Amino acid sequence: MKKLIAFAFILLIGCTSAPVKIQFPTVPEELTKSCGDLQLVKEDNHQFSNFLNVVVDNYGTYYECKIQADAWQRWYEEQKKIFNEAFK
Amino acid sequence: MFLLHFLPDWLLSGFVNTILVVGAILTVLSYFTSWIPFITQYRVPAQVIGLVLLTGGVYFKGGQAAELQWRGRVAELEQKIELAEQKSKDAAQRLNDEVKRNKATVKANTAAVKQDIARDAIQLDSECRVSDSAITIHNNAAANKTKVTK
Repeated sequence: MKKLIAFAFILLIGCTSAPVKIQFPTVPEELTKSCGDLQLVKEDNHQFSNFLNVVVDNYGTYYECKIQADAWQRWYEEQKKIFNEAFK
Repeated sequence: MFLLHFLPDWLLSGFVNTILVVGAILTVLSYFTSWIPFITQYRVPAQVIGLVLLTGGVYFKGGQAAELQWRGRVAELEQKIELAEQKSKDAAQRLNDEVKRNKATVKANTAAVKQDIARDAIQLDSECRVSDSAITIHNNAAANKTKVTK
């Protein structure tokens, strides 16, 4: 009986081994950064130049975030293409 | 048969070929050399062992061919994966550099525009005063609030 169990165990080892493994592609470091929050205008500062500065900063934040979002899409497309070419 | 995975190619080939050749030689000798006295004495056992070895050898030869074919496919796949992983890393690195460059450009542009604002600040501030309402509306929009308070 013990031999039978040992034999069955050996057969199971054969079923569990996978000869080829593939790593999930690494995401570029720049894409893992979070988009910054938009800035608020100080309520006690009514200067137009201050208001404009905040608006310009927020535009900058938007463009940085857009670059990141576009890059995510490109990263996905490129990785998909590489993966599909490797296994076609 | 899965145990064959653990054996190297040369050992597998040597083992299978030895069984096949020994089996074939023993079978031929036991059937066609009955005139040799020594062989005649052990003819029947030699026939049995020869046939068992020959059959086993043929069986293992088939298994070995399938095993080697699978090993070839695995090696080919591993090579493809290695190449794909390298391509993936290169593409990610290129993209990372490009994103970094583009973000730096945005930062530089923002700084340049803010310099323009600083240069014209006196004129801008003298011509326009931002109302409380405008600040509230802006801040609600920036904070993604739906309720606009006055």
